[in-house]
Amino acid sequence: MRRTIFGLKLFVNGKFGKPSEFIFPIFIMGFSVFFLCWFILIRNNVGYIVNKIEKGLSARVFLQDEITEERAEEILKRLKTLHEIEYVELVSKEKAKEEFAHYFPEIAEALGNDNPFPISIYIRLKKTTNSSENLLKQLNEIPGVKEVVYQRELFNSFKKLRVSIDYLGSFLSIIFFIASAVIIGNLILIHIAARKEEIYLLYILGARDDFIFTPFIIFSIFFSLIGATIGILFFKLSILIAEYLKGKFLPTNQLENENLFVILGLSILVGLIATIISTGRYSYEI
Amino acid sequence: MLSFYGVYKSYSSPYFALSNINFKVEKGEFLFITGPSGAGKTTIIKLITREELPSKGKILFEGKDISAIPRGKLYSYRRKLGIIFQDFRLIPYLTVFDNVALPLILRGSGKQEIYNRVTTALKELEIIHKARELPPSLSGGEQQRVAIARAIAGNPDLLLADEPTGNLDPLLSRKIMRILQRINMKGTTVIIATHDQSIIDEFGKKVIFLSYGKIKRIKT
Repeated sequence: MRRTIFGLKLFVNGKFGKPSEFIFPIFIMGFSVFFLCWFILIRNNVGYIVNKIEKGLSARVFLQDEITEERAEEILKRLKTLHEIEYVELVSKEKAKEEFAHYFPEIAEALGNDNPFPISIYIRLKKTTNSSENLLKQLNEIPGVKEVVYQRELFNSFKKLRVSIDYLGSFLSIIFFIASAVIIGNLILIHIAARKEEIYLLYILGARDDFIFTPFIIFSIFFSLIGATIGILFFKLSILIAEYLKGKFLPTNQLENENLFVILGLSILVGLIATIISTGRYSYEI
Repeated sequence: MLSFYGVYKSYSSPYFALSNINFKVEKGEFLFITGPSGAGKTTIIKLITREELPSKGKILFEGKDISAIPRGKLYSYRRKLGIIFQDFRLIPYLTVFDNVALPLILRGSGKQEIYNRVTTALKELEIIHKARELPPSLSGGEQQRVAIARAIAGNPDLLLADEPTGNLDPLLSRKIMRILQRINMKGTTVIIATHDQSIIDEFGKKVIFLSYGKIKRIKT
């Protein structure tokens, strides 16, 4: 412990670069964290919308044209037994025509006595139901069912959007964090180079790598944390500004504290890896 | 204690900074290595501290080949050495006390042990009154005494000095040499690389004469 404290004392009193050297690594780490926060927020919101669509989804189960009323009743009873389904209603051919006539009276009048509408069952899923899409696909396989119609396009487009956001956001986040790591690593290398003679002397006097490089690791963690904290503060500020200008614009507009701690941890990890690579590279040159 | 067996050192092939160096240093011995600039004195010191590796040959310290020490274990070998540099190499922002304490701190010595050893070394070098000062405020002679105190504070098995009087006037040089002789009389093996013939003549110890990287003669 005394050794570590002395190492820190040596480090703190040693040569430091210009303050401007520290601004860019802090800025890039801050920007990476800011971007990551927004990415997670948008991802959470799209996920929230997908979830909302999925839960409480309603659908129409169209039965085959030649189906008998008895078979239709059997299917209705079977659907009622499914615990994921909240409400079930058999829509007869006549009722279907009535519904149609309500919305499109002129076309319904033109149909005259013809009734091309099939018997169907209207269902509404419980709000707690997960993986509704799978359930609806299973309904398709019940003998006598012709087709299950639901808001597939909306549902699928949001799902695709979520996947796209995942890929793009993850890719850009990785790029930004790699850039942060490279820049922090370079800052560390500059500081090691500035203290080359001192480090050389310490090695000759019998210092171990951990004595020499622990202060650099603490230094990079400190800078990563400052950058990450600034990034998070700017993220919070940007939410406040956006809400002030546009009102509440996202269904869920806050990141959980756990998310923020993970982001802080990630930034520390990035700084740590960058420093270990830089110091490791350097230590073998001596 | 220390043996060189057919040691060659080349920085840029085919030229050798050292060629076929063979000598032994016994425990408690005092040895001068001398020769003109570029003769290879500093290279020998650097080979002993393992700042450099020999291109050929073996260097044994206490019977072990120092070239075979893995990088991760070098610190334990180097902690057996005390090194004095021509340019002192004191850390300018640490006090004299902390500079001298540095090797002991690196070894993980206790607080009391550090205090005792540092004050003993500083008293021996007659510089205890400067303990709280920073090296840049000291004269050249005082800085060299601090560097010697740092080298002996850890009670090394082998004390190496590379041109320890190179930056000092003749009077101060003799004073420093007498200090090193006193340390040697207490049982520490001392190797000094110097080109100052007057000092070598005055102290009458074992001398290795180098010329163009080769041992010209050994005077015992």
